[in-house]
Amino acid sequence: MKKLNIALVGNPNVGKSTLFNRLTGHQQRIGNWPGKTVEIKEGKNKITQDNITFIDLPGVYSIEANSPEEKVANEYIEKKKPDCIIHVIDSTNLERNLYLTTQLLEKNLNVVLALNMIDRADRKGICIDEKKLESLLGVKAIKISSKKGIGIKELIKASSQIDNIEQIKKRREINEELGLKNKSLSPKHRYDVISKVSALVLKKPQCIKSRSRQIDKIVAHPILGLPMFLFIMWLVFQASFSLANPLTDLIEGTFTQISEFSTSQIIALGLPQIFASLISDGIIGGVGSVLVFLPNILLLFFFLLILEDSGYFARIALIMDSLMQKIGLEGKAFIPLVLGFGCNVPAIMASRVLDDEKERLITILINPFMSCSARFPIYVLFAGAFFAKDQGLVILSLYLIGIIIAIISAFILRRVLFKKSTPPSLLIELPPYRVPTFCTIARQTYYKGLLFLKKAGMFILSISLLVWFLASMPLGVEYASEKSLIGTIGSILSPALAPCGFGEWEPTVALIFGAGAKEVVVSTLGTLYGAGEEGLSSAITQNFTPLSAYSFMLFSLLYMPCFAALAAIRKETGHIKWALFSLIYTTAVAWSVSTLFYQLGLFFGFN
Amino acid sequence: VFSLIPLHSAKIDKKYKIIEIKGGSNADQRLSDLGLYIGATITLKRSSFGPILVQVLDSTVAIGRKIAQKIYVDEI
Repeated sequence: MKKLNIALVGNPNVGKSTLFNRLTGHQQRIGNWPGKTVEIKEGKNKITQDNITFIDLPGVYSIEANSPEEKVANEYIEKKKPDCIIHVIDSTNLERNLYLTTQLLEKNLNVVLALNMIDRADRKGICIDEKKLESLLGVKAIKISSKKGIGIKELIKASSQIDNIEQIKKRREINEELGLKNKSLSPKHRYDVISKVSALVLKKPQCIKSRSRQIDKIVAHPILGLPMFLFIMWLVFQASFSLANPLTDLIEGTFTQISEFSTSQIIALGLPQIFASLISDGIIGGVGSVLVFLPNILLLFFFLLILEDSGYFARIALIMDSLMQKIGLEGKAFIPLVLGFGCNVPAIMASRVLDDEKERLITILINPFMSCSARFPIYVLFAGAFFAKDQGLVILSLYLIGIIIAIISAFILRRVLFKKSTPPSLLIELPPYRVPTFCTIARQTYYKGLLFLKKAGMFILSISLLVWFLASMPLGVEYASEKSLIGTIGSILSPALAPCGFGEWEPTVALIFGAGAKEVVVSTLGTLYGAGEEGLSSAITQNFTPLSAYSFMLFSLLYMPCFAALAAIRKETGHIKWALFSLIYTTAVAWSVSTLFYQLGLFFGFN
Repeated sequence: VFSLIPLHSAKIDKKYKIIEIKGGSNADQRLSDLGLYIGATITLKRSSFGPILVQVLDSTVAIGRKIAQKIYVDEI
């Protein structure tokens, strides 16, 4: 049997990703980073095995316009020429979805229409005669529900049958009959074809009740929407925080036990003390201090995914538009910013939703100020040590400062770099609210967890070992003392950070290594100050004051993006100069803000 | 005889037909991708503050005021 490539095409929010997960199950290849379909994803089916490769293309309304996502989809179709295209359609909005179908038909491609969310359409009293649709358009149409798993087998069967020459000829005839031959058809002409077709196949009630519009009266209210958004974000952070606590304690306890056990074993075996230090300081002190936060990070991703899949993100664009216009951006630019709370890398890539190039560049450049989950452990550690009572509030304040700095930066960038242009106007579909599929969310969270563990096992572990090694050298030096190799390096550079309030060599070293990945700030401090999170927490209370602790959190929040984010900036802007600009700009901002905060704090008598 | 008005000054919950869209072809294309083409029937759902909301086909679309000013409609 011939190997087939089947591509999934469709508008945003039609359940394409859910279908892709259904089709590919666990055999899906994970991309380089967690996130939406910003890159093309591939996967194979359990039953058909290697015979069929499914390709998930980004959600698009059209394959003719010029947004980056549309280009990706169009280029894939034109160049890779998939054997079949499954066009995923929201059955509750058939006519608008058929607009993309007309474009696919014009290209004379082997298309199968997947009439998704058929269960929803049924409930709303919408009736589609798919047999008639098939004969009118000359393509196969299968009713499915990717959420409930209805019609999936039929869809795979239909899409793996390649049309013979007879069928291709017939398809061409039908296209000519419909008048879908000419490539430069006007939208009006296309919609005329669609309304002719839908008059014959679509029956729907006169007035369809929309629960989403009722919800939007409150959630997307022009004035109440903003405080509502802040409240929802606060809830997300608070929940990912308090729900994770029991698990965090458990992991922490386990690591302490492992550390104690291995130390006692090493002593019992008569091995040199240095091995005990390697395990308890190097490995557990480093990697362990980061792994403790795995539950927090996973819950944060989990809740952000729920918000994303429910349809709330489009409302965020609507709510924020008026404010964003004032700083020279449109509301849609706020979506990549919110995604930045999870991880800046997919967030920077998600800036592709913006059509305007200047706007996209600004959105990319301000994204690193959105506090990603890798910085979360730093806040939990420091806020827990110094502001235990108001931990949630302190952490929220950092997120807000990040947003404010991002907004100010956007304002400045717009003024300085692109003087004359005016911000583009908002244009976005508000998809109906949907209860997210638990399986999809759980699976995505699981992948993010895997990626995090991989990062901890490879990158963070290597850095921790390197830090431990540098802290143990030269031989015979007291571990992690100023005379050690790493202490010497740190001491040379630390005066630069003294005005910010943390001029000791340990935090300096932590920040330097943290440039690789922000979690490393915590793991390095863990390695240098000693094992376990509890030990680390008390070590931090001895080495910082509340004022310098907050200043350190500010610096960690704002300073240079991690390597992965810098690479994403370079890739998405197409130029290394923007990555360098980001590195210098963010670090300068971090230093200035921390210094200002610390010096003012001292001036007003805080400590 | 048409009585053209810009979309944002239309009445809530009344049906209108799009007669003219002024401005660049890019905005034009984006609008038609979402079902807002010349000849389309739409219903205004909100025009109080910030972007306006319209219902077109079976979806709701938020449109910034700057674009809305360029869309001229006629009551059906």
